[in-house]
Amino acid sequence: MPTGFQAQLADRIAARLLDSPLAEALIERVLQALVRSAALEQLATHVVTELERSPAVDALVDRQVERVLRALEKSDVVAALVQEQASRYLAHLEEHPERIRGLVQGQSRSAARELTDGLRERALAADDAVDALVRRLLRRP
Amino acid sequence: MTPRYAGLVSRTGALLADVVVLAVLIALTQWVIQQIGRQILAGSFLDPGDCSRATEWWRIRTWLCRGLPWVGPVAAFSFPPIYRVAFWTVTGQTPGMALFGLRVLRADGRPVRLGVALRRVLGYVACLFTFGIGFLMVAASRQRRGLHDRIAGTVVVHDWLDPARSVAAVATPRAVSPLG
Repeated sequence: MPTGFQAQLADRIAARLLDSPLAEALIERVLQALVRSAALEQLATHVVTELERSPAVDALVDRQVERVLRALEKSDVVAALVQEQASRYLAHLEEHPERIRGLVQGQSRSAARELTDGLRERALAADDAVDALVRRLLRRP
Repeated sequence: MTPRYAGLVSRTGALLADVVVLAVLIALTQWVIQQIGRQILAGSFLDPGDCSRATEWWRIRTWLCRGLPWVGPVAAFSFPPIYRVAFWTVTGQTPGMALFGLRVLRADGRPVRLGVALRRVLGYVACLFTFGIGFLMVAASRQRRGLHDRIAGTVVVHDWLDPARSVAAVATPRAVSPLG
């Protein structure tokens, strides 16, 4: 057991060491070495992977999400917010019906175009097939 | 640059689509004219107080009675050539051809004019007289030309992939061969 004087001496030495730039440089070098160390990186990766795979963490996250969703479902504030946004959205659509009309028309137009393109491609392929058949029958090159 | 000439399947598809359009047009015309005729025959368009027209009215009534059954056959015979000539001349494609992305052009790539369109319709009649063999010539020809195309000096191309390319390609000297 150190005596009082020895303990005081050790504390003072430690304080002096900690105050000195040498100690700072030493700590910095140690930290840098730790950051660069492959072992630490492996450890961090391992911890993250384990957390990802952990059923306990999964269950915890699920429970928390479920709790938050349940709270949101019952929340009057959220209900009011959604209602207000929906009313705003509907009002905006009423004021600018041309946008939704354009959207619907665009969708129908592209569906019709897809249909006709499919029909034309099939007809084109059938034309070539009939041509090949006739050429074979007439023994043409 | 070779144009994509339309083959037998595309052209038959376009023809069938046109038959459907024509059938609807003919049926609609027949129905409208018969409805109007029946209304007139029922006397609903007559003013009973206007006796001065009565003599004329009986003549019209007799004429209508005799004429109404002919509306359907007359429309069925006259609509198809009128429909084709009008569409070929104005747009270069009938609605059925537009559905399949086909366009009829003169052999030199220029658009079809009235005279060419009339010759092409006559070519259709010629094809019917050959029991359809004139149409089947499309499958045996390099430029996929039927008898009606040879009579009118026309070709039918797929213009939905690149319309400008099809027209320009037909206009090249190689494609102007009258032998098809």
